[in-house]
Amino acid sequence: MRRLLLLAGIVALLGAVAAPALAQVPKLNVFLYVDTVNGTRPAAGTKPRPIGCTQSNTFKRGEQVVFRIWGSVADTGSILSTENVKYAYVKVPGQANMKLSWGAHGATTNRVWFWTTPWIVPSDYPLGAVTARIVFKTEDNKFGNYDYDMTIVPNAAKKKR
Amino acid sequence: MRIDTTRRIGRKGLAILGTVATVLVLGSVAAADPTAVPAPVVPGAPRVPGAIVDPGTPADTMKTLKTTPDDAVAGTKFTVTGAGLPASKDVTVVWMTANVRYVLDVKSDSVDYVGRKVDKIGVALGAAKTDAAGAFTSQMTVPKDFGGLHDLYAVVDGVQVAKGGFLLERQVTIAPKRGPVGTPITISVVGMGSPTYESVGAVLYDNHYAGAVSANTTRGVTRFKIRAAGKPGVHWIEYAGSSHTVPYLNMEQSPVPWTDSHRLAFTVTKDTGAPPVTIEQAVSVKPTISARTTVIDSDVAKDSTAKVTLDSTKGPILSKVDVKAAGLAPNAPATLLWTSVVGNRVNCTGQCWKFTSQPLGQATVAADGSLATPVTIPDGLGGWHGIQVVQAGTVMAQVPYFVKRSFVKAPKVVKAGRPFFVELKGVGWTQLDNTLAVTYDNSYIGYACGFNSNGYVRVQLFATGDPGTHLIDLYPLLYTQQPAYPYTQLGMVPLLGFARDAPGLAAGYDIPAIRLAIKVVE
Repeated sequence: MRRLLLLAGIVALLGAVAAPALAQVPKLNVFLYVDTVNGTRPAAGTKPRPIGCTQSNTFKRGEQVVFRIWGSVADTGSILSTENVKYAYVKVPGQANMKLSWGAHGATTNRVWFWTTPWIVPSDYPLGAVTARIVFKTEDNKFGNYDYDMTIVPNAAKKKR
Repeated sequence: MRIDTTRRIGRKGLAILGTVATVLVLGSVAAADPTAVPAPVVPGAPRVPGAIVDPGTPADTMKTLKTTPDDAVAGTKFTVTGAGLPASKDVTVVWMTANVRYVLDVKSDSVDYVGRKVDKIGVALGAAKTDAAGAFTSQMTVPKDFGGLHDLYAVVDGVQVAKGGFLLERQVTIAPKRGPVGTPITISVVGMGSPTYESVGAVLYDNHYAGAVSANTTRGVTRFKIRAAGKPGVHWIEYAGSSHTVPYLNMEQSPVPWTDSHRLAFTVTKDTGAPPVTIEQAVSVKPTISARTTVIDSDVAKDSTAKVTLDSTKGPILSKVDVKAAGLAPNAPATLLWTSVVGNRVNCTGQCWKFTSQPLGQATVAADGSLATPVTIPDGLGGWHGIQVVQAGTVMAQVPYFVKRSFVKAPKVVKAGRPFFVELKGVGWTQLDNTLAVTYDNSYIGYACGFNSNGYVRVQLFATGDPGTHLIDLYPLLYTQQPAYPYTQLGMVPLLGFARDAPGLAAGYDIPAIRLAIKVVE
């Protein structure tokens, strides 16, 4: 519940921040909050980070990226869930679209529902900047897109000596 | 860039110093105009690695490029391949990089170091044509350029149709690798980055902090010197990743781990005694901006057509300089004035220093309006000053002169545990030259300032360590206080890379490192 209140606060804040620019951008149908955390199941041979599920936007090749999305419908405030979403996916250049799943996460005493999909960064994925596009379509044909920037770095620093 | 600051010349400020010296105390209204100054051309520094091009706009559905290898040092051959792209089209392979400039606020009464400005650019590194299936291959050489991550784009008709990437690894080498105490060790670096957290290197000598290095205006490539210190045996030089000045000790956990892990061994073979004093100058470059402290266009009479020239434009205090002028009022006296400032930055609130003018001499202008006379550069603050030719209370012409930092004296032998002094003259007052950083056996121990003491610096030191040779190096320092600006890297520490990359080079600041040694005895 506390997280939902936090989400509501973030959405409200985003709305407030966006307000001055509303005249210059298309009407927002869907509000999205997007972040990424490191998954605990990287590719074989890739050392997992000491602490899993930590927010980050820089990932090594072989690491598991987990996209996390919370959203709501702008005009009704309805939370985006399987009840009102026709489809949702993450699009990463050069990769097949990754379907987002709605589910509960966290300890059993503090489970929170949100959208996720994992992505293991391929061992030959281009280094540097990558923009993931998050796409939502609701049952009543409202779209929400968000471009999320990350950085891909080598699996391990080269030994200099 | 031009100084457009005005100042009110107050005749009441005219005072007599002794029999001939006159001081004009002038109110100062300094301009605040931080400017990214063009980088000077540094000999040996690489150029932008290709034609600057529009990097294009991302395609709605972007492919990926295969880059082999994609993690290597400058000079490595690599291949970029793409597939599934528009067929039979010209492809430009765009290498994303940057140009970096220093930001200075050049005012009439000082120069402030404000920071850096990074402008991202794309350059055409390769070209190819897609085949009928939309595939292409292009082989290229990793340029000598800023290190770190470079995005690569295959651009077709202004659209980024595919994305790749390359990590240009940092290389650090030293030469020589062995020698007696005092041996100059040249450290060469290729692949310093352009982003903030990759743009500074911190040097440790046996885990003692020696100073910071940058290569902002030399496209990530530099070389600099420290000297071999310590007892005979192996000593470790670490070129550590840094964000601003000191090492970032867990760089492996940072988003830029490739800046870490450069550790090199140097063997001190013996102690052959204290080496002589040496002065290491910065490389000779042509300044890219013309504004000079205390040289203010509006000081000169608007209707004056007089010109003044010098036979040299830089030198230490007490240099003899021949002044020639033309276009003056004939058969009339002229006074030569030296423009400077007086004051300090300590506990500064409000106006903390003022302009001064000091007579250099008088002469009578010839019938043809010309003047030729020698003058002696005053024993005072270093840095940029002006020489003005004044007739009937009006400045007719002026020309800038740079006073170089100079070594005066230091003892050669000191008993362990005893204090001693190192003396310099010609230390300046701006944020580029008012202070020098002191290392003792490659360990940064503090700084000394020359503003309040009018350019004369008497560094108070203390002889420590085992009997034998100990090294004292006096490096340029960027003074980032009074006023302080946000995010000024490289401030308040020895600027080890001063000779090839320093904010002052664009503004004509020629500030050396002065390298001394003492013999500590029991």
